[in-house]
Formats: sequence, C-alpha cells, structure tokens
Amino acid sequence: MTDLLYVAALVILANVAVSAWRVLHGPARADRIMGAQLIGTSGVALLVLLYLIHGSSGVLDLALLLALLAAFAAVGYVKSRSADGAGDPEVAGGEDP
Amino acid sequence: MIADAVTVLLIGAGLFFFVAGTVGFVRFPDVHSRLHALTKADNLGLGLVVLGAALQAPDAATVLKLVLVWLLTLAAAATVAQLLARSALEDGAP
Amino acid sequence: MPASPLILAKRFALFAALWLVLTAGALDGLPFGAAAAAAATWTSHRLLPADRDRLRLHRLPAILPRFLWGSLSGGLDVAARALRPRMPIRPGWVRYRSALPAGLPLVALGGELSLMPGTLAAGTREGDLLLHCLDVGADVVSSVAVEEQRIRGLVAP
Repeated sequence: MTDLLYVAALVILANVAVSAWRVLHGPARADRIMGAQLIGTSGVALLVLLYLIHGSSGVLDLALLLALLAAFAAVGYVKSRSADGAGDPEVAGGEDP
Repeated sequence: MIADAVTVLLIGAGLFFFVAGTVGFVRFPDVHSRLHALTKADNLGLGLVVLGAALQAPDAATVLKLVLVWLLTLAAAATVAQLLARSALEDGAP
Repeated sequence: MPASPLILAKRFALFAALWLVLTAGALDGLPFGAAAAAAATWTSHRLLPADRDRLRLHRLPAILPRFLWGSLSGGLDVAARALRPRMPIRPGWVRYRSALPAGLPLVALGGELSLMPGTLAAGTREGDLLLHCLDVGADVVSSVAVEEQRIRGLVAP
C-alpha cells in the first residue's frame, strides 16, 4: 500500500503546483488567496498521507496546525481589505451584483 | 486486508475530488465560480482522504484527532468561503 | 446582559474535551489543559459574549447525515461540471429573503449553503442573503428554503 500512498502524495503535489500557478497569475486578488487556501488544503491531505506512510501521529498535529494557519491567513486577508483593517466586508457596502 | 482495500478506495475517491476541484479552479470563468470548486470539491476530497486514514488508525485517540482535522477544515472552508465571496464582491468582481 | 455561568461552563467543557483529544488523554498535561481551556473560554466570551444560547449544538447530530449527503452531492455536482468538456455552468446571483435572525443563525445557513450543490453565500444586503449560483437556471430558491428549515431546528428561540 505504501507505493500507492506515494503515488497519491504525488497527485496532491501536482495540485499544489497548480495552486501556485493561480497564486502567481490571479487575475483577481481573491484568486491568489484562494490558491493559497488550496495549498493549505492540499498540504493537510499530504500530511495525512505522510501519517499513513510513517505512522507517526505527530504529523497529524502538523496537519491541524496547517489547517488553522490557512484559515487565519484567509481571515487576515479579508480583514486587510476593509477600510479600517478591522472589519467585516459586509459593512463596506457596495454595488448590487 | 479489507480495511486496506477500503482505505485505497477512499483515498482514490478523495484524489478524484481533489483533481476535479483543481480543474474547476483553473477552468471556471469567474472568481465566485472558482470559489465553488475550491470549497466543495477540494474539501470533500480531504474528507475522503481523512476517512481512509481513520480506517488505519491504531487507537481511538488517533481517530478523534483525524476527525478534528476534518471538522476544522470543513468549518474553516464554510466560513472562509463566505468571507472571500463577500470580499471579492466588494472588490468589484461580477 | 451578563454572562451566563452555564454557557461559560459548556464552553469550558468543550475546550477541555478538545485538549483531551489533542493530547490523547495524557494525564500529566491536565493542569496545562485546564489553564488553556480557561483562557480559551475567556477569549471566546470576548469574541462572542456568552449571554444567551444562540445555536442548539446538541441538535447537530440529527442533521448530520443529511448534511454529509449534501456535501457529497455538492462535490459531485461541481466535479461533474468542471470535468465535462462543455463545462455546463451558468453563474449568476440570487437574492434570498431569509426568515432566520441575522447574525450567527444566518452565518450558519450561509456556511451550510456554501457546501451544498450549486450555492455559495456572500453575506447579506438589505437583509437579503446574497447567493452565488453555479447554475441560475436551477430552482435555487426552493432548495435553499429546505436548508433554511433544517437550520431553523438549530436556532434557540
């Protein structure tokens, strides 16, 4: 099974590469941070696969940490986009879609 | 033995959703559609990979920790998707 | 409204349980866990005042199977649209007037809808929930109404 797990890890790594392309090319700012989100999700999956390969449950703590950091990165990005840097994107108002 | 086969199947299904989500993330024409692909497909893929790993876990504590990984990413995806969708809207995405 | 000791105790129990999962129930870490759970309870009270019950989380297991099914079909739907060469999507916006109270219940509905097939919530405008749909031709409003009923069961009166 270990060989199959390594193949799976390679597929996930290919996802990371594609996400990195989105981070570089956008076009919207939100696209770039979404690419970073996908790198986070892929990284968590990669760590879970590494846990299966090596059987060390400390890797799962890393997976939790990465999931947490990816979420906070996105929240930080959204907050930085509002005028006072504190907010809720809803308060900004704007045009109807 | 059966657990191994089910694990391989679940991880395979998880990879399918990862790849499909990433294809959508590349192909879809606007920011919000791309966010659909990211939120739904990639997190489902991760959920299936975690489920496959849970079948191999040696004890209940590891299963709980894997469940925690999955719950955290799911809650984060549902919240972050709403925030990013709104933020992209305020930035003037159609 | 002052903080309710019962709700603070519930939150403390939740954080303590999280600590136990993270440390695999190791006994020698318990004093640190108690301190961490107390600090987390205080932080959570600062961020979301513990003055009243907002969501009835003990009802969550009842809607879990339907939620997991929705999440699976949401993933299948978006995967099928992404992989087909013709890429059958018609993205657009739908406004939905929800009867749920603003704040946490509406955010919970938005979060759930964002994992269900075809919908993505982007907050509210003039009290209407803004939904981005992958296919505006589908009957979005009636499927959203079904999810809204489900979340209603979670909202404390």
